[in-house]
Amino acid sequence: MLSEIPRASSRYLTSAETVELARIQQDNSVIGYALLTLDGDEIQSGGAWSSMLGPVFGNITDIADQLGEDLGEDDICPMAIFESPDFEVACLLLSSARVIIIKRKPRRKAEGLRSVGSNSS
Amino acid sequence: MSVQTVLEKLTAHNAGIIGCMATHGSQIHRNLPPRYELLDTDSIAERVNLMFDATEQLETEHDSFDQLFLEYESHALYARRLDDGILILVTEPMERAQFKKAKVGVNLFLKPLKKALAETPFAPVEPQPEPPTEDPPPSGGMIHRMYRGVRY
Repeated sequence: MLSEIPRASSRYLTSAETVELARIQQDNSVIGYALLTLDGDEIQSGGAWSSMLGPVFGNITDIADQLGEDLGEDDICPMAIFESPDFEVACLLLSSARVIIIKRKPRRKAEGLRSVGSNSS
Repeated sequence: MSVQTVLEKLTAHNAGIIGCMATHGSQIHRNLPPRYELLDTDSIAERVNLMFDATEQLETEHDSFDQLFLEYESHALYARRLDDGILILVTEPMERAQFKKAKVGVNLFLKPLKKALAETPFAPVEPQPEPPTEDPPPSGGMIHRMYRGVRY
């Protein structure tokens, strides 16, 4: 769980979005976030990689929108998800902003077997 | 099995998959239906590659972003990094949870695809010449300058 709840500007978020964001922040697996304007400029950020999220995903969402045009899409990309073995980053389009959420993936359930296996050898 | 055969089997495996492509160095192997023949696959592959490149800013020694999923109004796009390229799937519009179930099929084809690509002559990506210098980009971080100054 993040140590601080973002006090997102009401200029960019509806009350329903603010409530939902606050709820997401309570999730133990959420370790960082950023709120961007639709132009990709950072409004606020916090948690892991907070200084990097705005610049990196501001550009990524630009590219995702342009890729949508390649596919013949009229609208901008409403949802992008990036996965690594340990993390998941979701970029969601809100009414007047974009939010980037980083989640740590649950540890692999079989990981404990490694130590059991090494002890038994 | 050839790369083309693997891509055809992968497309046929799930009704939601419209078509797919695999980049390998500078080559792009495609299996897309006729109605998508005008799709600029070079541009799509380049943009996917740029997105993966951008995530390298967040990578650690032991962890890198190797999959992406984009939802659009009329399509979804899934991409996965391979050893020397990227597998890209264009699908009917679907939510990621739906796709996660369908992806079990995709995973089945990764090994044969990697093997087929490894048996295909590799053409490394040629470095592009530097574009002529224009006006200085707007102020901002390095990444902003790298990407925002370029129109795709």
